[in-house]
This record gives sequence, C-alpha cells and structure tokens, in this order.
Amino acid sequence: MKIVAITACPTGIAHTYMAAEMLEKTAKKLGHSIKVETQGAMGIENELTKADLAAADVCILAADIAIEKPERLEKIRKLEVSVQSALKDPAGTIAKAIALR
Amino acid sequence: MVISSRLVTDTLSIQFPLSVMALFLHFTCPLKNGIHARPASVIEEFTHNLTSTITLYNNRTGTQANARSVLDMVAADVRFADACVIEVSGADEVGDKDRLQQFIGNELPSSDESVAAPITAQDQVLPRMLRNLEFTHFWGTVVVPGLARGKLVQWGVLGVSPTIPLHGERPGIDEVALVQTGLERLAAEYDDRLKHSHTALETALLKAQRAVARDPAIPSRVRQEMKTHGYTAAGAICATEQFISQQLLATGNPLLAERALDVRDVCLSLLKILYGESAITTAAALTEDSLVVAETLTPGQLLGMDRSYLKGLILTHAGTTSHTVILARSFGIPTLVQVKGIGAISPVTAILDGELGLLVTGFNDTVNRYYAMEWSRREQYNARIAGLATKPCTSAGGRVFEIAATLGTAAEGTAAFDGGAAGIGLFRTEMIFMGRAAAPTEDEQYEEYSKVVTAAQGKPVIIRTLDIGGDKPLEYLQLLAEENPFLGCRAIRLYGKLEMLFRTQIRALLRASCLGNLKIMIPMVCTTAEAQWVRQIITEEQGKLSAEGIATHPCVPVGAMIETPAAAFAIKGLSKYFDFFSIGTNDLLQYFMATDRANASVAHLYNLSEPGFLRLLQQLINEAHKHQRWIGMCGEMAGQIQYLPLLMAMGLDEVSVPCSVVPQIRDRASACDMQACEALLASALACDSANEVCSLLQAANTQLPQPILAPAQVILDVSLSNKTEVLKQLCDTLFIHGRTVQPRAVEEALWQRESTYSTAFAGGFAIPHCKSDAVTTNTLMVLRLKEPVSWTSDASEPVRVVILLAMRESDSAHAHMKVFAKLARKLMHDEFREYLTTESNPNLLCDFLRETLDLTA
Repeated sequence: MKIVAITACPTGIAHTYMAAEMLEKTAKKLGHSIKVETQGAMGIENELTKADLAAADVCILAADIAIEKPERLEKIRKLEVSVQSALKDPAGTIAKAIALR
Repeated sequence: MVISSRLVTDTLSIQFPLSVMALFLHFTCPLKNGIHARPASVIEEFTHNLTSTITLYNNRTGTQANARSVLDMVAADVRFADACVIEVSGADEVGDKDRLQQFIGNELPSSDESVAAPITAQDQVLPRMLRNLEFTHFWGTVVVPGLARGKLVQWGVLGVSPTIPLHGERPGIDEVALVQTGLERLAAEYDDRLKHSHTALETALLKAQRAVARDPAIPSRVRQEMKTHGYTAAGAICATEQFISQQLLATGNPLLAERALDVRDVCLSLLKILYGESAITTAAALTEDSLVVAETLTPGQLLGMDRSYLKGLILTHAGTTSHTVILARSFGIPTLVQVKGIGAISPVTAILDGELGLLVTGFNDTVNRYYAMEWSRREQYNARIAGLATKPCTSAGGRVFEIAATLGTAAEGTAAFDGGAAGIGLFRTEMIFMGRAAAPTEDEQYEEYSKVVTAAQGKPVIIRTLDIGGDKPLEYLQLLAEENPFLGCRAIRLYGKLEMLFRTQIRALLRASCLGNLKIMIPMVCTTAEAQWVRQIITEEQGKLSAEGIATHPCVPVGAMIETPAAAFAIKGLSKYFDFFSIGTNDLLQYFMATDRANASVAHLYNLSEPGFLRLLQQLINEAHKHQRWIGMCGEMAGQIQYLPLLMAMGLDEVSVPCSVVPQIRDRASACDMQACEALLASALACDSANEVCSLLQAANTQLPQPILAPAQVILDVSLSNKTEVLKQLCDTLFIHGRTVQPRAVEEALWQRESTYSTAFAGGFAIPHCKSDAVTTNTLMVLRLKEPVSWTSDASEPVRVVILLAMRESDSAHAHMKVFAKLARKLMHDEFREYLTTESNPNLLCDFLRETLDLTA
C-alpha cells in the first residue's frame, strides 16, 4: 500500500515531527510505503509532489491547524485526524486510512 | 418586662432587651460595602442634631451600637443586606423616628457613592502557582525590585516621648477632663478646616476625621483604660488607639482597616494638643528582620533605621520618584509604593515580592512552596553572576565599557566594590547635608569623601557637588520659594548665592583627592560662563590649600553632568573646561520633553524610548568623543537592562547603576553581541515613536550565541510536587542561566501551549514547548523527576521525564529548529527514551544528546 501523509501541529516545534516519525515507523513495520510531509516551524519539508499524490492509494492528514496548499489533496481519498490521535494510535490511524479505499 | 403592644410585631425576630418607651425602625443595609466609616460618619452627622437616644442593632451579628459613635457602628460590622433595627427613645422620639426614616430612605443609600468597591486584587495577574488560591496579599507598585521577608513594622505608630509618664496620677490634674477638652478643641479644629475645604474629597475626609474626634467611644474607652490600668491621659490615649485599631483590623474588612489610620491620626493630634509637638514620637526601633510599612518616609527617617534589620519598605502613599525611593534603590532595599487596601497592620511575618509587586501576609503550603522556589531561583542566579570573571566589556568602537555604582552614602561603598563595580559613577552628596540643623563642616565632609575614595582602592570615584534647590530643599538654607523650582535656582545656579558652602565642599573634595582617584562633578551646568566660574573657584581653593601646606592631587579631574538640552548642545564649549561628562537621564528627559515625571497627567511623556531622546543621546556621545572627552551615564536609564544594548552601541564609556544591579548589568553587558547591538540601535534611531522602539527592544536579540544545550540544562532527580511546579522550575532554570529575563512570560507561553492539548506522551514523558520572544536563547532542557507527577486531569500515565523546547518566536527558521525536530523524532523510539529514563550521570546524558543531535561541532 502506498500512503502519503501531512502533519501540522499548533506551534510546529514538536508534535508535527513526533507524529511524522510515528507514522513512518509504524507504516514501515506494517509493510506499507509512506511519505510524510511536515508543516512545522520550518515551513513545508519533504513536500508531497504531484507524482507522490498521483501514485498514492490514500492520504492521512494529521493536522490541528489549517494546512498550506490544501488544494493538492482535493482529489485523493484522505483520512483527517488530529495530530494527537496519529501519535497515540498510529497503527489504528493507518488501518482506518486503508479502509477508505 | 412589659412590652407595649405597638412593638410586638416589630420585635419578634430580634433578641435584645427593649426599653419600654421606644420606637423601632427596620431596614436592610443598602450599602454594597456595608456601614464602614464613611456611611457611619454620615449617620453620626445626622444623629448629632437629634435629641433622642439612638441605637443601631445588627440582627446578623447580634451587636448593638450607639448611632452617635462612628467607631461603635463600624464595630457592629453591618454588611450589605444585613437586617438592622434602629431604636429611638427620648422626648422627641416620634419626630426623630420620622426624620431617621426619611434619612434611611433618601440619604443613606447614596452615602457611600464616592467609594470604589474594595480591591479584590484581580487587577493584575498572579503567576500560575499562586492563581486561584486564598491567601492575603496586597498589590503595589514596585520601585525597587527584590524579595524580602520580615516582620511587618508599622512606622508612624503612636508613641510618646519617654519623658512623659504613661502611668500614675498627676496631682491636681483631672486627666479625664483634659482628654475631653482636647477632643473638643480637636473637633473645633476640624470644624474650622471644614470651612476652608475646597474639594468634596477633602470635605469628606475631614468629616470622617471629625466624626472620630467627637466619637463617644474614644472618651469612654479612655476613661476605662485610666480606671483599669491607672494610665495618665497620654497612656490612655495610646492604649485606646491600640484597642480601637485592633477592633477595626479584626473585622478583616480592608475599608475598616484603613479607618484605623484615621483613629491613629486623631489620637496623634490629640496628644499634640495635650503635650505639644515635641512629645510625640512615631519611630519604632527595628529589632529583627523587618518590613517597614509607612505612609511616607523622609530620607532622614530612612537613614535613621538600622539597615541590618531593614529588609523591605512598603510606602503606601509615596510617589515613585521621591528621594527616599532613590535612596532605597541605592541601598538595594526592595520597595513597594502605592500599596492598596493595606490599612493598619498587625506585626506578622510577611513577604515583600518586588517582582510581582505584592505584599503577602497570609500563607498556605502552596504559597510557601512558591516562595521557597523563588528564593532558590534568586540564590542560584546570584551565585552564577557572582562567579563570573570580571573581564572588561567593550562598547562600540572597541572602548572599555565600565559598570560603575551609584551611591548615596559612603557606607554602601564596600558593597559596591564587592559586587564588582569598576568605580563609583555617581556619589550623591545631598545625604550628607540632609536631616541636620546646619551644613556639615569641611572636616565632616572630608571624612565622608575619604571613606569612599579609600574603599575604592584606586578605582575612580565621581563625587557630585551639592544638587539642591526649590524642589529638593534643605531646611537650614532657607531658600526662597519659587513659582517653578524645577526651572529655578537649583544646583550650580545656587552656588553663587551660597558661595561659602560651595567653596567648603570643594575644599573637602580637593583634600580627599590625594587619597585615591577622586573626580569632581558639577550638576545642572548649562553654559560655558558657569563652567568658567566653577573652574575659577576650584583653582582658587586649590591655591589656598597649597598655600596652607595641605596636600591635594595636582590635577583633580572636573566634569559636568549633562542634564539639560542646552548642555547637550554645548559639548564643544564645555569641553574646554571639563575633563569628562556624565549624562543625567532623569532630568535631561524631563527638560527635553518639558515633562514632570511625577505629574500623573503628563508622566506618559517621560519615556526613555522616545526616538528623539535616543538621537539626542547619540549626538551628545559622539560630540563628547569628537572632543576626546570620556562620557558616562548616571541616570536611571543606565540601570535598565532593556536599554543596555543601545547604550553600548552608542559608544558610551560607562554606566553608573545602583549597587544591587551591578552584577546583573555586568552579566548582560558581557553577553552582548556588539554587531547585533549596533544594528538594533540603527533601527531604533530610525523609529518614529516610542512604541515602535519598545516593540523593537522587546523582539530584539542582542546576545552572543549560546549553545542550545549545556550541562546545566540537564537536571536529574529533582523533587517537585506537580505540573505547575515543574513548569516554573523549567523557566526559573532558564532565568538562572541567562536564557530569559522574563521567566513568568515564558511560563505563560508554555501554559498556553499546554491548553491546546497536553504535551505528555508515552512512557512517562512530556515535551512542554513554546515559541516566544521572552526567550533570549533557544534552549533544550531535560528535567527528570524523582517522583512522577500527573500532567493531565485524566488518569493517563504520570510524567517523569520532561523535555523543554524553548524557541524564540523570531528565530523560527533558525537552524535550532532542525535540532528540535530531530529530537522530537528521536523521542518516538523506545531505546532513546529508555536511555533518558535511566542514565544517572547528567554530563554523560548531555554528551549523548549533543552527539545524537549533531551539536558537537
């Protein structure tokens, strides 16, 4: 399964990156490929390209704030969750996203 | 007892003896603040002209009061909505009852209109730990910061001179009649003053005091004191004052507590009438660590106190710029002014919090914990800055930047040099001249100046000649009253009239000059003519001394204080007569802005951030340097940390600051990045308003870069009891290590972040963080607790390892952000968390983190 994700928390200092790491770590363990874009205090990093989005099966949007460039996600099936739930239950979050397909 | 039928229905609910022939009036107290002294005095004034005996009963408390005694009524503690009864008996009871009914319906409800509701102390924000707690505290304005603990001592407590007997009978003297006559005279005095009262406020105050003076509770208590204790009139008056004050204080109502001051004033006036002015003393001797409470205090009174016991000052009515305040600042005595609602006080141990502006008189466990943490924060901070190497700082242009101390008395000299002062940038000589019957002699002055110069051991000591005038008078000089003393004959402008006085001071200074590095500074110089005159006098006195065979330094430097715009623009000419300059910012800004900073309606114009004023300073410093003159600053601006980067960038040679802040200023100055300071100055000088400058200063970071993580930021196995204490400890540690100067603001930012959702996560970890410009240095901190604390209100796992990420808001794109991001990711791995939970050596833990996060380069 090909997953893309975006994380964005209120201050962009900690939870954006913590959630990104958790999703990457868990997806790998479950045998999925994943690319996570972070929108934190340093701006957009590891940005999802058109190609990334076109190739992806599903998207996880783990954000507590309005994200930058939301129009990119208009056409993809996506699961919207809070940063905290992605952080607390990454496996469940991934399972829910996959179920959207 | 027979109760007449007309009373039966009225009296079913009340339990007090009723007289046979009396009328009763029921009412509910309509006054929000209850019947405190002001309404009571309105009632007293009304009942004063009635012939009946009138008694007020409070059903709630079961107390009764004579309606002609303000103090009685006040003690009945009638509060809002209390059910009350008024009993009227006498020949005209029917008429008087009607009059009273009218009065209660029409006048009583509005009798307290000018009084604001009691201060609830919600006007300022308490730090998290103290919020939502019940503890007795009073807000004031901080004029000298610091933290102090001591017993509250009321200054101005009534006392009589030891020559007046308090006990015993004086043959042929009727003490009771004496007191009665005194009270009548006093009431008459108030009548007289009322006739000349111009404002409603003054009238109200005088009426309240008059009511106390003619209150029957006073003579009746005085009589009782005489009878039971064998007091004389003096003894009985003091005892009565004590008794009534304690009664008022016991109500716990701040408005009533303030009335205790009226009682004291009245008793004081009474003693003066009976025994004369000189018989009264209001001073108390300090015998243990004390916080002195006074309405106001003269510099002489302050100097007369035993400063080893004087830990703090609470001046309820003083302004922020009085000489007493200046003196307290130079002694480093934490001081609050304009403290609201305190009234008269009991001698309890209290804390003066000169950070928050609080006087705390009631304690509980949390308040005690808070202040234990505060003491520890200050001690650790002081220990760190005291341990700093005394390496010299440099200002713009590579000049040596000296941090000197400002003194008001020679006694502070040792403390100043122990604190690392590079010299004395301003020694005020006014104190030597104050509080005495005649000017000090040449020898007396010589002795005082010698003490400072000797203590300095060769370091420079700038002594300013007498700075007095209509605004700072000396009794024995009998200066003429002036319409506008601030623009009148002050400082150097007086020296021509008081030439002998000036010459004596110069002689004393010249004699002390051979003991060390003494410099003379002249205040309020405006013109070269003045400069020339001063120089001539000094030369003449030097000549005379040498003719007398008295040793002086061959060329004592003479400087001018720059405190008028005229002087600021006359540097070229003044440089011909003066060897150095020092900027007196207090007066310079007042004259520059045409503003009296003590006048509340224009004080807002007194703003050191005014860009025009900054430009004036810059051009003045440049001009002095152009003429090869050293230039320092001795006004209050010199001691205000936020301006330090600007002053250093301007190329100033020295700042002279209160002894107590010398180490702190030195700490900040040595951490300043001169390039950043110069950039900040350029932006500030280009601003159009003081507000712009203020926000610029607030957001600016002029510190030399410090590592994001140092061993001091790894704290293992501390005992703290809850999340609030943990967050405070984190911010206090930032403060101790110079990573913030506003720990409370950082704390607020952390709490704000916590309020969106808790930063606790798996494995007993929490990662509180913030983006705030209250942070001066981006910081990563690890704090591990001995016992875990709960982080959220739910039953989730308690937290043992706390990782703080404190980031400057303006640095968001900074490389440090990468470190934080990397750390955040690392924390998602069990083995990394396991290491942080178990490593027992803080240095190894720090090294490990630095390596893992690529911070070793």
